[in-house]
Amino acid sequence: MQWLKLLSFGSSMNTRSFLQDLDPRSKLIFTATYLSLVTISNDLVSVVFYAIVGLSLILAARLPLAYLWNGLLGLIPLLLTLFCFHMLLGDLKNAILLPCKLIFIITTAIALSATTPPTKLADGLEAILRPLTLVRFPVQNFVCMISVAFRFIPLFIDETDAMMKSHKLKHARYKGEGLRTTTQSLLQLLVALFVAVLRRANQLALAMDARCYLPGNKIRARRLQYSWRDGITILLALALLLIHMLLKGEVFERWIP
Amino acid sequence: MDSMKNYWLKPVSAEVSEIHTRFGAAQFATRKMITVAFLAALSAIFQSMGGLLPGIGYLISPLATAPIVLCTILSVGSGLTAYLLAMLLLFFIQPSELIVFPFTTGLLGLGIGGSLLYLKLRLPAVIAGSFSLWAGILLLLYVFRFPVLGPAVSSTVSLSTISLVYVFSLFYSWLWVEISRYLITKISRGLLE
Repeated sequence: MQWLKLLSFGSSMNTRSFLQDLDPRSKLIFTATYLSLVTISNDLVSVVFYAIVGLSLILAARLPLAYLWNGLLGLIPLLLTLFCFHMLLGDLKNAILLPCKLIFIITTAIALSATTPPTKLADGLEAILRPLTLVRFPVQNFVCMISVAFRFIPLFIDETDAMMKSHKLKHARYKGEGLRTTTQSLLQLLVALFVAVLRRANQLALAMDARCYLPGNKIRARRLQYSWRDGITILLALALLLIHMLLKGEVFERWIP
Repeated sequence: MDSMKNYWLKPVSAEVSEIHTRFGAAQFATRKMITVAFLAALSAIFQSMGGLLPGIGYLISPLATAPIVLCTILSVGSGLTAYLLAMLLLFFIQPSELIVFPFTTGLLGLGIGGSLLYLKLRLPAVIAGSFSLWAGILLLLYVFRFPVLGPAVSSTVSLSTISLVYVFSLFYSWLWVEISRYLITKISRGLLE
């Protein structure tokens, strides 16, 4: 149970913000545009610009700062390693750029998952990935798998936690034993976990088959609908793309006269 | 010499083909889909522990390879689906692990699983796994300039680093082939029932 509290996932909250009311499709389009631009940006001017955009995103999501901080806390050792690694190589530009990019990716993921319930997210993904059916990609199966995985993650975490606790109790008397005993007991724990997961998969599949499950044969409680907010979001994504191209051009001209 | 030959050129696990054939059947389609979804979720949970619980989490995160190996044994398509699904889940659970998983633990799982399914023998399985891990680490180190082996290993191309990385990948891949063999033997009853 304590592990669940560490995850920033699954706890979508109602912040009554602009982002909250958006259609998941437009959120995904904006996120994909923003993250791909962040990934390909390679100069400090662009990073400053994307930092401003990221900050506006957090403000628009009206997320509590403590929540964001919790999401970034586990990342600090990695950020420090990245910074030190590039500083040791004398590469100041990458020492700043790479940790910043990582922070942008994580805050965007947190903002997206906090303002969108997993079911809506899966529906949005299904709509976005639909063109892939043309190349015979099983989009509906994939989306069904995403929703199942989203729904069962908290349960698996609970199960793992309970198993680890019982394992600790069972092996309390072997404390101080060698590496072989420890490895063997860990492998036994892993096997028990896999068996439990496979049994659960078996039961769920049986229940789905019994109810004549067919991919795509699904009745939705709510249909996805675009509103004026979504139009603005998609326009903002296009504006980001345009600004990126302008910035690139300017940086390019500055370096190659 | 014979014992060495017996060890390296012996099929790793007899159950792999049986599991693959059983899950290839049409009546297993739903079960295969749910199993892949659950195993991908488990893989994402294991991988995310590295970021969530610094210390013990780093010991748990390598276990993310095991579910991918199991999914790849069902079929290569299932393995790829689990790999993509785990990446997507990691994006929402622990995005910082998104750099490590696709190039190391996930890729190793795909390599070992695929070779166990098609090559069957221990030596080709270890070599295929080591190549996939080696390629992933080198991509991270030299293309994305990410210090996956810590700040001590420089990101300028050197033959000694490349060879050291390969030796490490070979040992790590052998370790994972043995762990996979143990897991498949123990779990096969659950998969085949």
